[in-house]
Amino acid sequence: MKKGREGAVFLLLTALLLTAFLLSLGLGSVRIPVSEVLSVLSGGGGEEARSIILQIRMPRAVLAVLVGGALSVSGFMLQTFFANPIAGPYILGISSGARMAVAIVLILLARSLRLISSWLLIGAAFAGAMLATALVFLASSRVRGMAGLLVAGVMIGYIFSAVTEFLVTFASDQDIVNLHGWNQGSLSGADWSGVLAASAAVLAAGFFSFLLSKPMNAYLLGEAYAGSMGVNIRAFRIALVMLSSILSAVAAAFAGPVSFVGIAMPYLAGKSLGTLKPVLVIPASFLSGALFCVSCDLAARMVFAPTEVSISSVTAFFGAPVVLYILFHEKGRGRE
Amino acid sequence: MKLSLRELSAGYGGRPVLSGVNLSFREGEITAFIGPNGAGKSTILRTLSGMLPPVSGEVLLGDKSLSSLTRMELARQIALVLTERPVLRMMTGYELVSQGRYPYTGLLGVLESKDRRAVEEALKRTGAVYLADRQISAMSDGERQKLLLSRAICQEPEILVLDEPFLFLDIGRQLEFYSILKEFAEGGRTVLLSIHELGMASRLPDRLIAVGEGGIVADGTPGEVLDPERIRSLYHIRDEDYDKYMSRSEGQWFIT
Repeated sequence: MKKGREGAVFLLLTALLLTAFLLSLGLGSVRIPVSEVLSVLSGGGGEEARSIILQIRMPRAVLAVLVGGALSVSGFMLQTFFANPIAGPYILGISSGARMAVAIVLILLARSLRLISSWLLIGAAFAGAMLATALVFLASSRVRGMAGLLVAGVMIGYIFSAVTEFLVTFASDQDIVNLHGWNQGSLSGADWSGVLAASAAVLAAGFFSFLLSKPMNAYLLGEAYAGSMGVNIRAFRIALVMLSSILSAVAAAFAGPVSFVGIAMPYLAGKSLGTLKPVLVIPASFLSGALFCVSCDLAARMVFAPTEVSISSVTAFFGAPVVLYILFHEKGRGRE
Repeated sequence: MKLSLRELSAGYGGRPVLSGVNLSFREGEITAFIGPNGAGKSTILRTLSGMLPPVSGEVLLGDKSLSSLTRMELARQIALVLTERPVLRMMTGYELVSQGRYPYTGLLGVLESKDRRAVEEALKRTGAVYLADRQISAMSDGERQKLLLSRAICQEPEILVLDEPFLFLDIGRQLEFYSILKEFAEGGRTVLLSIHELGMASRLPDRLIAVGEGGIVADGTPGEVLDPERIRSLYHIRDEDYDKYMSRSEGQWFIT
């Protein structure tokens, strides 16, 4: 019976993701019927539809898949690491750390480098994410309970955001053009070169995260038990933090801050599977995060069209209530 | 496999809590450590199970030093049941017990048929089959403890180490738990545990070791070790309390 449930969850997630993906290729200021979307994807279709889909909507939709999947998996890993169901890259200030580092690179180097490579942005975001994670980790040893970690993370996020605001305020106009949109959390302006870099980073980090399923499962029992069963705790913790930082860094580098995906989606994935076994929850988190971001990005484009709202406000609208639900209904492990 | 301690100093951060410890444990026996809080019961258990490196001296498994074994080799020889009780969300009894297969499963930890057999066998042994499909979060302390023990048993260790296993159990569950341990030891394995309560210590284990004053104070059968004068000084019981509350009758300790 359990196997059937797991299969059904994966089937449903895949079907919904494909549907949302196709919809986001077809819907927009120019509506393209599904039949034409499909013919463009198979190499045919009209000139206009081809250029809209292949140059504008598809890189954006693929980026939404990558960003959503990355944030969701990153969130699940942080939840494992901190033994806390409301840990996530946004709420713990890790996204803000990544964003600050990207802002620094964009503002300082925009003048000297004509074209800033995607890898430079990912690298900067990774450094910022690691810095924030280190601070949260230091704070976590001094606070008690789920809410304490949350408050510490939010405060660390505020500090990074304040620095970012400061930098943006004093940056020259040209740089602000780069930062605009991205700074609010948006997938607009996605192009294939960025998508390629993001997919390489996300797929590699996602793959290695999946390979950590086994020790992550043991770690659910706590550090001491995991150690007694043969987990190399030190190496495992380092790998977990590095991989979750890479994943949230890629998301922050290409989409800016996108809120709550990393908490809400792994939680819902676990709830629907009825287990926290990482070997199942990691792929399910990726799919549900991707589905959520593609759908929210579509909503961000369409609901108030032609005005586009930031994707983060849409993800927050749907994600924050889930976080509240978790806060009211779940107990953290370890520190109580 | 025989576990022994040679000139062992055990402690934290290079500071020994216990030193000069020479012990060897017999297969098929249950050995319990007693002693006041902070005397080093947990410290010695953590050290002899390889969780804590010795400050000096050696822990030997057969003729090999524990430090020469890989983590996986160690996990196949020694399993632990700890005092800490993990709060587990969204996990069934079966999932918890199957964690014990960690040292045997492949890269992704997927259970094969021999692993599933070991899990089912362990659940049967502890009488926890009825807990397999239930959520841990809805279980009593006794039920959770039984599952943690099943998890350790399906790790198929030669040596089972338990830190204060009876702490959260009532007398009925304590005795049930103990009889499972007894059966496990009788299969030729070594069981080591710490006990807080002297009533339990006087009745159950084959061998009792009293820990205090930075080393081993006494080692023998419960009858030999639980000498009133020794208990009085080991636990620093005040004279007036001793006279007022404690009496000894047929090898059992009572609070009168």
